[in-house]
Amino acid sequence: MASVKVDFSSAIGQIGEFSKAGAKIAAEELKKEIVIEISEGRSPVKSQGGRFQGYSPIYKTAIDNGRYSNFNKRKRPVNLKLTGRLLRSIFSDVISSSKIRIGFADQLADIHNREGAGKSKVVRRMLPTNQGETFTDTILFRVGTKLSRLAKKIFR
Amino acid sequence: MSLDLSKIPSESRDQAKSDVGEFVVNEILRSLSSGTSPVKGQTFDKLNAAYADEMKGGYRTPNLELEGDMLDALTFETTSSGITVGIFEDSGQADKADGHNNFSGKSKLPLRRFIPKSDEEFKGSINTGVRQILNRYKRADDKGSSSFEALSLASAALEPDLTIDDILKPFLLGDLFG
Repeated sequence: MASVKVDFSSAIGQIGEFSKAGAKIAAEELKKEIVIEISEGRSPVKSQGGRFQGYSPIYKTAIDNGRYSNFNKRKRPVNLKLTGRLLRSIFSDVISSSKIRIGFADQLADIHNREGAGKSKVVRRMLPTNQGETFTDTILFRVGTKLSRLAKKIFR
Repeated sequence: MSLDLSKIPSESRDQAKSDVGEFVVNEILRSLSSGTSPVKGQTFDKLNAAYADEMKGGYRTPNLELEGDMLDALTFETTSSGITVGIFEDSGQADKADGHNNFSGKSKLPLRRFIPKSDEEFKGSINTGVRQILNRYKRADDKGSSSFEALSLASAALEPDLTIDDILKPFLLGDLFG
């Protein structure tokens, strides 16, 4: 499992009742954006080079040879998806009205995100779990825009 | 891509340019993943069915990705006035990129432009994101009326536990009250 805590307190707490709904919506939006980025082959973590490193030659050969044809697996994008179990394991907990925790429950998440996968131990970062890391601006921009629109509706 | 850095302290300009560069590259990739152009006014035709069947398992979304080498080479460089985004000669992928963008005028491929020509620009959502990134680096006095925007991504990212409250604040409240 890999997870991070996200604190919205000073951002949405200042606009009162929005905070309770905001935390849940922010969690859902973050989850959606994280899955989109990974599904399309990009890391959700800022300054991690954008696109995931390509699959190993051995794995690509196996794909070419039809070993994973039941899963419709292609060499690109590098989307960390075979059965889909890993990406489906994304979860969020609303810790308080302004704090959430987001993570992947599947044990493969920690392998990709920290330990490294395969013989060459390739790390493909799924969450900003290291000190000082954050999500990409692409994700923050979209989540922020969504919440802003919601706030405007509430205060209209 | 020229950026208005005039209200950003000189010590923050390199980081601001780097953030914008990473954002723009990511946004180009995101557009391409869904088979749409990141360039304002440009559209992509779907892949030819016969080509899609033969090369991409019938997947007709023109995501410009087969082996992925060309898009792996998409990157940015900082310049004195901003950033340059593209696929550069030293990557060995520039000819392929020109095949899609046809800046040379010699390409026989269907035009699928993902880098704006000199008289073009990125679509509005990308430009909006760029402005918001630059805004968080501006001096507090130059950010407009919202005092909430004073906190920056850079400082929030240094917190020991991941918090994005300060990070979201410019997006949230800047837009709300700006």
